[in-house]
Amino acid sequence: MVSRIAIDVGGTFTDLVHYDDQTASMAVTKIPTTPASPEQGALTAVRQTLSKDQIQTSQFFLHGTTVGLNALLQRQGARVGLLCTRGFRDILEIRRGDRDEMYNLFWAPAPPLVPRRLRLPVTERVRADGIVHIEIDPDDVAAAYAVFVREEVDTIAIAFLNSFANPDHECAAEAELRRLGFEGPISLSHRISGEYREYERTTTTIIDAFVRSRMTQYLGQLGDGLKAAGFEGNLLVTRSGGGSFTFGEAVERPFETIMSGPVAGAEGTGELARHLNIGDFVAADVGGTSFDASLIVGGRPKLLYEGTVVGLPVQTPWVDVRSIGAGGGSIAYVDAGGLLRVGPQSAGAVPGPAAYGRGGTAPTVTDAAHVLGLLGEGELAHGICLDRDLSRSSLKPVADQLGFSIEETARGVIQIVTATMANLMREITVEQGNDPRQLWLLAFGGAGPMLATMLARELGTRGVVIPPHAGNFSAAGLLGADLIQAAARTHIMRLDDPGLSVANKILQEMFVELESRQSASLPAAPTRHVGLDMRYRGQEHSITVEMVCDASGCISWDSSEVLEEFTHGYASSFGVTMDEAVEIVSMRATIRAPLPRRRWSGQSDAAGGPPAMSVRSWSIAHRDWKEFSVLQRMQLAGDSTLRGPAIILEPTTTTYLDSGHLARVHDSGCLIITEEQADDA
Amino acid sequence: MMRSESSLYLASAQRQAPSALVDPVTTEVVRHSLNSAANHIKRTLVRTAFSPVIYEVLDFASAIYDVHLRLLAQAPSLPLFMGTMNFCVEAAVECAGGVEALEPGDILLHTDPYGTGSHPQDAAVILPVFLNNRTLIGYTAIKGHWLDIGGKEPYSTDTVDVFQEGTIYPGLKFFKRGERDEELFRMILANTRVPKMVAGDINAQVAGVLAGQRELLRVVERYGLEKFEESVEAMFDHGEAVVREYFEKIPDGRYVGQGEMDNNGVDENRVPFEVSVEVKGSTVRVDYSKAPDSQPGPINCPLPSTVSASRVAISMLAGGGEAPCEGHFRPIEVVTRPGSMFHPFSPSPCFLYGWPALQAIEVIYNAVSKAMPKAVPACSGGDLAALVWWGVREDSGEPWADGSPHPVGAGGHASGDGATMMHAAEAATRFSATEIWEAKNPWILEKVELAPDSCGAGRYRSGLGVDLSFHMLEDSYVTSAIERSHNAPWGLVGGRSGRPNSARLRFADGSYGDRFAKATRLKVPKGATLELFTAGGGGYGPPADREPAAIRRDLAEGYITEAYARQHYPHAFDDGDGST
Repeated sequence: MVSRIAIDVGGTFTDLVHYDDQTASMAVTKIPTTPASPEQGALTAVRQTLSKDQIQTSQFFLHGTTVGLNALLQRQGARVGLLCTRGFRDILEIRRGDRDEMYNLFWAPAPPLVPRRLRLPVTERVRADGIVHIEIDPDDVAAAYAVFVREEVDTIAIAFLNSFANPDHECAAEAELRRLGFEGPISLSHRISGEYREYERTTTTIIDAFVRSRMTQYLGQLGDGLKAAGFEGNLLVTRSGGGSFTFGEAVERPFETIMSGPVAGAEGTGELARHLNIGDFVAADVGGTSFDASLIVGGRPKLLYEGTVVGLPVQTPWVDVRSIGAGGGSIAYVDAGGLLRVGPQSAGAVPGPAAYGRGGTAPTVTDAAHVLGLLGEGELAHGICLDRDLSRSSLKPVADQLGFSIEETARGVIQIVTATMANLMREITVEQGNDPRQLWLLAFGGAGPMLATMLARELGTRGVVIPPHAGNFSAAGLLGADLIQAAARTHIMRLDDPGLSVANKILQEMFVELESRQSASLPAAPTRHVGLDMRYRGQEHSITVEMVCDASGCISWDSSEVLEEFTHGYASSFGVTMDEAVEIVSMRATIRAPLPRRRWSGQSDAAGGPPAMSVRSWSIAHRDWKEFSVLQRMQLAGDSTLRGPAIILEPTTTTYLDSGHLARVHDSGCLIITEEQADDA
Repeated sequence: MMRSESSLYLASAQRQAPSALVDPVTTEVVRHSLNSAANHIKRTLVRTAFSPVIYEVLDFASAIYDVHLRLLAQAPSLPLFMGTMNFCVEAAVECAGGVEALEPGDILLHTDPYGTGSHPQDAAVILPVFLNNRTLIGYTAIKGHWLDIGGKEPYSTDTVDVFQEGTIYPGLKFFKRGERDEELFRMILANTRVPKMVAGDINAQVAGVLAGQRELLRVVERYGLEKFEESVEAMFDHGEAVVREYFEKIPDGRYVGQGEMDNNGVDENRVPFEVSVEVKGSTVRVDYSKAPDSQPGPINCPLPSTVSASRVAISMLAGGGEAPCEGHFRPIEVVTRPGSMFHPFSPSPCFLYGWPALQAIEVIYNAVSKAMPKAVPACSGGDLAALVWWGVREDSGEPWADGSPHPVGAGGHASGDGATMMHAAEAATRFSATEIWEAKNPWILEKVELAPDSCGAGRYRSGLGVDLSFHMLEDSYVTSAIERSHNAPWGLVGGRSGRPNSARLRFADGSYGDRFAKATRLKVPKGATLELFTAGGGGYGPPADREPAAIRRDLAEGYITEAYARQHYPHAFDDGDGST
């Protein structure tokens, strides 16, 4: 049995998706998030939607959470004390010296998560090559501990310089704190990250310490609640770097869950891409306030090895999801210089777009779309019915400022927001050497399917895929998150056969350590994967190249084969190669235990639903008003083809199929949309 | 020397008759796409560069110009370079024989300081972009700092003419019709102390301008040349309107700021100068005509960088926080006196051109503060506090070099304390992680820490300066390019000054050398330690107005000592003058 439950807790809604393996069917629920204690909303969704039997027969509970992220955003976390190398007390405050807003004369960084009086120096020093330069002085640890006790510190972080090369001093300081009687959690930087750059590693360690108790409490309550409701399977949470791990592992390494929420959509796209097997994808998740884009190559989301959250670097694998403030709620205005601008300010869920009739008066993207009829008659889920008059009156002041008609203004708003999103997708694809013309666009989120054909045209993609349950796709994406453990270690050496054998030795140590972290009853035999970060000697930035390795995780290639793979990867990213020796910078070890594949099926429901009708909407492609047929997605027959113009309705989103486009209903339930060839249009 | 004439520099003027067909939608879309394209150039360069000065410090600018040499977009990078790039492109094209001599596939290299505005190490790589291999539509360009280009030293504070400063490549075609000129490449590598780094960096610059070309062509092809050009005009008008709106609010008048250089690098005399800012309606005139004659040492600032300093100062103040384009520069008039240190002629030495430019930015803000004290912060640490290092590795015999600016305190301002960061003119640059530095260079850092009491006191204090100690494991050389070591950063509206910049050597026997600021090819022997003390900034408002709670917090956090607090903030103590 591989039935499973996924819950994605977002800022506004908590989405539940239940996959029943017997029938290959999915049940979907959306309820308001309970921000003060998100586990309550999640448990309510489970109890309201699922029978006791459904809960008991589910083998996996998969969870995407923003609890850690919110703790950082609201700066409500543990009281952390930091032990650092003497002379380096202000790493968190000096940072790298740069400004986030370079044209803002008054910009200042947010205060560090640990104030200066709780960042205390220890006499000790390790060199970059791991040699001890100054022995650690335990008296300094004792002196710092006395301050921590007086200041009622909950959690202690230890981050010494060059500990990635030799962790002995960090371990010695930890032992000393325990000897002195400290019983709270201790985060050691070398266990958090084996990579160099002290600001980035220290910050990651602090984030870990800062969110640990909140995550422990939250996951504990959620797990207990689920068990009380009868759940007996594995409790999993998604990682910022893709895949999932158990609640127990998440409590040990909470910093790996910071981007748990936004990653789900990219993970789901990866799973769907592997299932459809039609090529690589760029994923477009259009919500109310933000637009998230990610690139899926070879059925997996692209990874970065450092992320950024609330302006802080996090040194951990990170699915490359890029976000900008553009979505259905983004507000249009005319700026001081007379240009029409859209976002990043958003009307949010409250009051929402003017058309919601909840008191919002600012013109939003949704209002512009509704004026143009892109949402049909505007009957959305949850009983919201958009009011076109309110949309028009919200756009009027902007139209008057520009000297445009309301319709022209609405078209401008849609064009600008579409181009902004397309630019972000171009950046994420082109800069990694992926030509958008070779990619498919997967569009989801509340407003994604509405903008999909326009985004595809702007980017020139092969076509568009609208997944089943597109409005809840992020939650559905959790269902396929494999179990993953990952680690990285910096050790710079030449790329040659002796270098590779050192790498293999270190990798074996890393795999042993990773296996000791595993706590789930594994659904399938785990596989080992290896990546090497490499660069030309003299460079700083490296690229990660996936290795071919044997079952034990030993690299199978010799150094000339690895070099060939590196050269190929470098050329496809940057268009050039260099005449320089290559070196290995870091080794990356990953253990992946796949969840059993679930079957994909459509959501057709031939029974019921109102009869087909039509609406007069603006055709972006033809630059004219046209009659669009209005259909229920549930009623589209499998393997049929629908010719635009049409508006396709489903409970959580609306698809705008412009004229000149064909939508095929794939047996996975996806709509696959392509442009008609000019000669058959 | 020409003494009396003054010279007026203006950005490219508005087109004659604004079209009625301006489309604010396409304009916004094009503006966004161009910024995105400039960012793409930057990322390509950073990811492929060999020298830490480019990939860590980000000491470069990448930009896109139209065929009339007007700035279309630039990525967030070194601000001081941004206003100079049109001069670079113009000078390089002129050297290469004019627009007629350019062919598709050509890439120019230009390092003449009087064209780039910088020292010869700041190498401009410029690609003319042709539509359909026929029509020249613009340029993509990167000016990036090479670690060495063969001057008398890798870095100098005491040059007496421009020929000592580095090799000049005047608008040469590094690529001709898509083929690299291997003879020129050999010549470039033969004229640097670190050929591998330079080879890597110039190739990275080429990868960057090529990436920019692809993206610019895509935007033009997407909208068609006519519509693109129309949108660009509207985009410039937009930028201009944003800046003009700001200056409309400033009362008309002429405001004078005073500045001073520690010395000119070859003698010890201080070099005071004056810059005035004249606001008339929505136009702002920055006037350097009272500046002293060009100097015998390298603190001369070629016209492009004088114009750039003015543009940086004004667009940071008035640009609404957005990346500027040509339009933002139109309301700015720059007046200089040919033959002065802000408008020197070749072969006047100009290796430290950036240092007077940085001081000029502070002086411009000093002038603006006289009209609107709330509009600007007090003086920052006022410098890059740059060190450039080199030597030969003991084990491999390979030459090494590295260099970096360092953070200083930012000034207090009407709404809060300053923080510690790079000077505004270097806003996007960073300094290296200690762990990266130690993995590469033969040294151990003993300290990189905020310096208590280094801030300027005030109702809102400045950020703190930083103390850094570099302990050398092998013999090495350093050039220290430090300014504002005599003049402490000024406070505003009653705020006090912070500590100035300085450095000194501590030898293996524990003895200290004298404090210094500018020094060229200083030997730092194995076992010795260089201590760098970067400046705090100026405070804002009278110290007596600072909230006692804020003072107690600064004390508790160790930003200030009790002695400092008693000296500057006696009101925070019960008896008002010392004892609690």
